[in-house]
Amino acid sequence: MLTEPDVTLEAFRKRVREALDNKVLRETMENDGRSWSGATQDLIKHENYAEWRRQAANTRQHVLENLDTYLLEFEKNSTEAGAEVLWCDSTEDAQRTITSLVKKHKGSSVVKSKSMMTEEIHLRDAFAREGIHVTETDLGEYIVQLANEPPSHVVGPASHKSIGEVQELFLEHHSELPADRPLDSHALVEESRLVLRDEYTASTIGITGANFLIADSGTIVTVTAEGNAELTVLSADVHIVVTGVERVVPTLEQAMPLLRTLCRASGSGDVVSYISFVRGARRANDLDGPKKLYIVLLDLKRTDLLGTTAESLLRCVRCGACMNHCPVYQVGGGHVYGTVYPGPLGKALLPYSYGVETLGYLASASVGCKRCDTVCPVEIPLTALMEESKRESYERRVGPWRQRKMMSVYSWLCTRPRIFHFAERTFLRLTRVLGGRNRRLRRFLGPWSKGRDLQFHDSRTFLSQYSDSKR
Amino acid sequence: MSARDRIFERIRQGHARRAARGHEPTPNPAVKRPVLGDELTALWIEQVGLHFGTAHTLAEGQRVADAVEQIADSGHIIGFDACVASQDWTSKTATFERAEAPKDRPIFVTAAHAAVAETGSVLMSGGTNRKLINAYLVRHLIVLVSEATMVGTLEEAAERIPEINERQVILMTGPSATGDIGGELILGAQAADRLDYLLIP
Repeated sequence: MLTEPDVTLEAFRKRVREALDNKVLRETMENDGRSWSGATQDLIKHENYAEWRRQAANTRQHVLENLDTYLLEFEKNSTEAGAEVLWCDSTEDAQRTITSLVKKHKGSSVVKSKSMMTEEIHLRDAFAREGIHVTETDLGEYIVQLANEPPSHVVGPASHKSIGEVQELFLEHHSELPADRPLDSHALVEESRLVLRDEYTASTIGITGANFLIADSGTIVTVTAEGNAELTVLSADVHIVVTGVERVVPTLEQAMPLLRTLCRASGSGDVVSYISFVRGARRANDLDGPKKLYIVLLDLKRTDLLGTTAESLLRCVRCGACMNHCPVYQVGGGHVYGTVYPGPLGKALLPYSYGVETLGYLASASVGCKRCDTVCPVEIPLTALMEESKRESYERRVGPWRQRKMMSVYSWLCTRPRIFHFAERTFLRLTRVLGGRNRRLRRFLGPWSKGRDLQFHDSRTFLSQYSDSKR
Repeated sequence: MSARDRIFERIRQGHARRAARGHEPTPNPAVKRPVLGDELTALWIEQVGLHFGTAHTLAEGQRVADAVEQIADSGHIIGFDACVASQDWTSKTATFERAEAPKDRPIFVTAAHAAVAETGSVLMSGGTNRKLINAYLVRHLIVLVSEATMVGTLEEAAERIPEINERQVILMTGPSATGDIGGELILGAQAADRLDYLLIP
């Protein structure tokens, strides 16, 4: 069972320090970040990408402004197709509903494909309490399940794990296999394939998420590169879909630009291997497919964001592009945040969902580079939302006293350009004398100087360098 | 008050907040489809290759069973789906058999409802004469694709899905893949690692 992470500022700082000291993690993150962000950059160069992105953002925004209409339409059409729609507005409600469904169908063993909603409601923990055995079927999720960890990324849950760490996990958990077997990356994939086949066969209940819900036909859309979502449900008697209320899209045709941008932004290619469109349960004379389909629609404070400045966050399609391009996320990975959604998405979303008093500090873990804004496939202004949370934290006097005082001084300086430039020049001169290797400034600046060399090669300010270059 | 009622109540409150802010409604955007040109089959074949699949074309006068046998290039038993059972599967060298149970067969032949040129994909489904899971359990999947079913864009594929009228329709593009171990792309993560298409003109 997973331990609920401590989300206090002190615990966050401790996790940051641990991540910075973890060389294996930093190397893995560096390699991972390069490959993901490089793939996305190639894919979003397509001449039509900007247009698809605009269309995707407008479709998602239009849905949010008419959410009740489209949800009712989806409920009606999916029910007519033979599904049963269940509504939950809290974690406890969702855990109770889903475990009851599993018990009702006498499922002691469950297979589950990757779903961030099930992470939000800590479904694995709820199942463990009820004695229900669950196996994650996405390879990345399977790895983090073996490690008893939450996912560190919404698309690549085990992207923080080095191949050596995965080898150790497989040796430990697949102890029935010879210990001296070769375990290169191909062998690891092959081994997981065989282990998961047994789990598919043994389980009668399959749980998946849904990337989109199509209102005008009651169709569920799932996207996977491995094909595990289909394997999860095709051999099961019961299919339970767990997803958020905001995932609805008016028509199948309108889902297509969203799928194009989702796949490209996630770095998975122009389209991923398997996109599944499911409408209802198995029909009479069908050769396979689950006999029963439940669709559990969760709110979990999402609707509280409707009509607020943070509404655009509900457009999110969980592609992970903001994480792949975030210089802060790429240093320490997702576990540093201690929240289900790490990176810019978490930093922007969670202070709004849970209040700046609880998670307002997350918004400060940003360098304001706006790379997340640039790559977001549904045009969420993530940086502006983080800045708004910081402003709110400051106004409501949330956070450490020293940080707020520094912000007051900085704000005072920013509105007095001559004093600001004087202070800037003085600081740069000081770093020449006190910065660098002997780091005497460290005592004054504390953790700010721990990972930084405060000696600049050029002691001129940015403005003076700029005006010199113009001359 | 049920959870459903509470959710709809909060949605209505959200609408009221938006109205109070004087927010201009966002119109439902019309979908603008990509323009692909006339050579859809050539584009589809190119895209299949880019997505780690191989497209073959049935030669004039060639039997499907003979073409499949050539593609399969092995002595394994070749399973076939009910939807292609009407083909003549007699062969001197290969053993073809109708796949009933979802076993992990090495080679399996099925048919697509349509091909999608934009992405080199095919639309497949389960149903009364198709066992979808077999396509996921095999190592090597061979899909028969009628050229007459070729569509251009993903939006055109979306139009075909309700026409297929099956419970589950799959847009399949290339073999099963993962990048979850060390960021390396590995094919055959859970389903087929080899994907061949036989295009029937």
